[in-house]
Amino acid sequence: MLMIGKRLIATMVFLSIIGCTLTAQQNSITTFGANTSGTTPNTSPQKPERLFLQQISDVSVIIKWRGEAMQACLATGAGPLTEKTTCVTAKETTGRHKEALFEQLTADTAYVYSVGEYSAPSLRFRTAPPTGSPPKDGNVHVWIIGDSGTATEQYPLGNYTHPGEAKMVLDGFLKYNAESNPLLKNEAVDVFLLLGDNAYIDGTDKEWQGAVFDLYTEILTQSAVWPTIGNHEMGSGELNPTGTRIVHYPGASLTANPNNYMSRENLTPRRIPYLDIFTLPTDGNVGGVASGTEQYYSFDYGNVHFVSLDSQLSARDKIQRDAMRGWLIADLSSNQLDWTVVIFHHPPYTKGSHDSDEKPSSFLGIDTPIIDMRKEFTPVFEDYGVDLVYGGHSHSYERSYYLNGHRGDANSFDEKIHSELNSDGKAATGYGGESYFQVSPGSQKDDKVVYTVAGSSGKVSLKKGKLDHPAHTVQQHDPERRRGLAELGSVVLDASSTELTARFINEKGEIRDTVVIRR
Amino acid sequence: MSQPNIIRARISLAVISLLCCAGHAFSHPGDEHKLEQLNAVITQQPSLQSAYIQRAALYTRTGNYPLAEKDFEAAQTLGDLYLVSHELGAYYFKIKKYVAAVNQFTNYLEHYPNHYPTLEYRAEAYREIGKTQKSLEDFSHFLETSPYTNPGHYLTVAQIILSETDQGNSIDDAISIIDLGISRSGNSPQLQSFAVQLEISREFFDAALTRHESLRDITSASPRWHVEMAEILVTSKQWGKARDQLNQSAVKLADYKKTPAREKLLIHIEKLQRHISDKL
Repeated sequence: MLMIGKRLIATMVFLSIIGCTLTAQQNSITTFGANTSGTTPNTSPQKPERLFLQQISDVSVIIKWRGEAMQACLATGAGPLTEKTTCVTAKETTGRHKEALFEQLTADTAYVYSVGEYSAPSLRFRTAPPTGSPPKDGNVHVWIIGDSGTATEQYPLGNYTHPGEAKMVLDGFLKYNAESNPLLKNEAVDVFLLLGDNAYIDGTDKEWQGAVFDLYTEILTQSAVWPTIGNHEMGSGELNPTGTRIVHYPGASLTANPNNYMSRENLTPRRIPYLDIFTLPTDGNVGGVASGTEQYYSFDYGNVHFVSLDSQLSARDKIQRDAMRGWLIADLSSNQLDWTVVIFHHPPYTKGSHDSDEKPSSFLGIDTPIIDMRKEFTPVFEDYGVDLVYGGHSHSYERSYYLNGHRGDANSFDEKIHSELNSDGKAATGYGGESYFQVSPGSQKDDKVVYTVAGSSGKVSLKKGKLDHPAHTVQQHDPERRRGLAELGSVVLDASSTELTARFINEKGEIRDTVVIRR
Repeated sequence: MSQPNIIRARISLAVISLLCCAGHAFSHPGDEHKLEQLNAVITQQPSLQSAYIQRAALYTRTGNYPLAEKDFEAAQTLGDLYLVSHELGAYYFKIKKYVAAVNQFTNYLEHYPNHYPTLEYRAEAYREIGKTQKSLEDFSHFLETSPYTNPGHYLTVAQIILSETDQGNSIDDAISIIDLGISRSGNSPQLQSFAVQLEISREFFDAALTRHESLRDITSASPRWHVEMAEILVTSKQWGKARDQLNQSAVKLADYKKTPAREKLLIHIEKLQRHISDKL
């Protein structure tokens, strides 16, 4: 009886302590100081320090910025903004950001906008098509970059180790998009995916500014950006205070807790800047099932369902990992769209600058999220109709065959068991006459997935990696015919109602790999 | 710390910084690389406490316990004991010496009372040695000061509560925690489905049905959601309603893209339908 009493008291204390902080911690963006008058306000002539779009759906958008302006205005068409423009007073959110939520928009429609008095021809976007339908141009156009954050990478301070390389990848994409895109020249990016490690070396707010907002400025003002958490979003590995300062080990954090972020600038454990910068859907309001956390989430864009998982934090704790997996199953069980794309940072299969084998290549160092994601999540992807999975972490490009059932180390891979086969009984390559079908001709099921490592959007490194994972295709453009490309680049994904095509585009704008899935 | 010691410490840390960073274009310094760096630092500064702590932590992380222990012992002779306490606690935690871990974490928290990793560690260590109330207190402190929580945090605390021997009251408390999580992070399958299982376990079937019903819109009433609803109804012997849910699920499945999971779900539906037919 005494024990029960003590337990109840402890629980009541627990509830009362937490309850009193409840209001302060809610982070709703659905209510604004309503000012939807029909006039364009004059609040500030300044260009925002950062300006980007979040959660573009078929009916809504969040315009987010940092700066003096207190409201944003929006109008349909190509502009300019008129007296009939709708304006919304912003809500101030964490990280000195401001957000204006516009609702009741028209699907698949062009809009122009301004922030305060700042307007420019580049401030325009298109709403998503109705859920389930491809856009009017027939194609969801997605740009994917991983480990791109080198614009701010300095070792030691002041010495930029990869100057200009992320910009080269951006220029390569823009060149491809303007000159070589086989579908539509200069097609606007509908969805912009970040695979993690996009702001080296700690993922500080300042580094996000330099590596992302100052670099991809125009794309960010026209497309919604959807990120996932990388190891370099978590600052430094946890080290003891020495009495004078903390020695800094970037990208080595092992915590599962988003509040344990530490960097060189501030050693007090605090919330990860990533979560202050982005406003991500926790309640399923952009499609998908509510996750209750911004660490992992899903959304729909037209006929494509996207899922962003958290392999950096949630994956490191069994209860958190199980919760994320349970949510993923509920989410994918509800999904009816043509295509499903999943992103997270740690790739299940890689032999680049990281190694996905459970047996470490040296006496130190295995990457546990890689193993856990492969063993516990790839079965879900295969069973629940996922088509493509993207990760980064390794600073190269590697793309798998059409896989099913491979959970072990590289040496346990058997193409006859684990991959779609061509007419010669070899692993089909995914391009040319060997493109894949969503419903596998072999198994008559939608049970296979293409896994891609796209972590060379800011630098290339292999360390001891040999790009020789047998689950990956041999790359025809690699001079050594390895199973990967040691080249700078990014991925462009195009989804029509019948075909999903992913291309790796290098920094020169050249197509270096293509994989096609048909339905 | 005296002025000469401060200067010496600053020089030592400058050496660490140079050795760590100079000339390297690495972005993910591997453990092996870090070990080489720390070995070099210790060779140059054999009395630098922080370097021994870092190397011990690295050895702990990679399972090299005898070497970790040796470095911790060295570190304790080179400076304030509390500076060693967090990492030493983590070492004891990893080798399952939870009482020793709690002692070290407590020592560290006396100096850094809001250090999240230590609070979380100590909560887990208390849990391992059966001190559930202490564990809850640490978790409450953690959630109180945490600017951000997610469903997994509440599931963690709920499972700690359930680990207590008195299941009846534990379920009440665990459900309270889950509901707190729902109120803070919104309704989600992770939390609500856990609560549904708890309600079923104490045979509160109406509550289980109400909770599962709250996931209808969130899951777009997927075929899987209907089957889960049917399972609750079967458990509560509401055969007719269960059959209706299964029928709805089967109809929807016919329109959904076929996946292995949905094929398995269909087989499960047929099995449940046969079970219900036997009962009716």
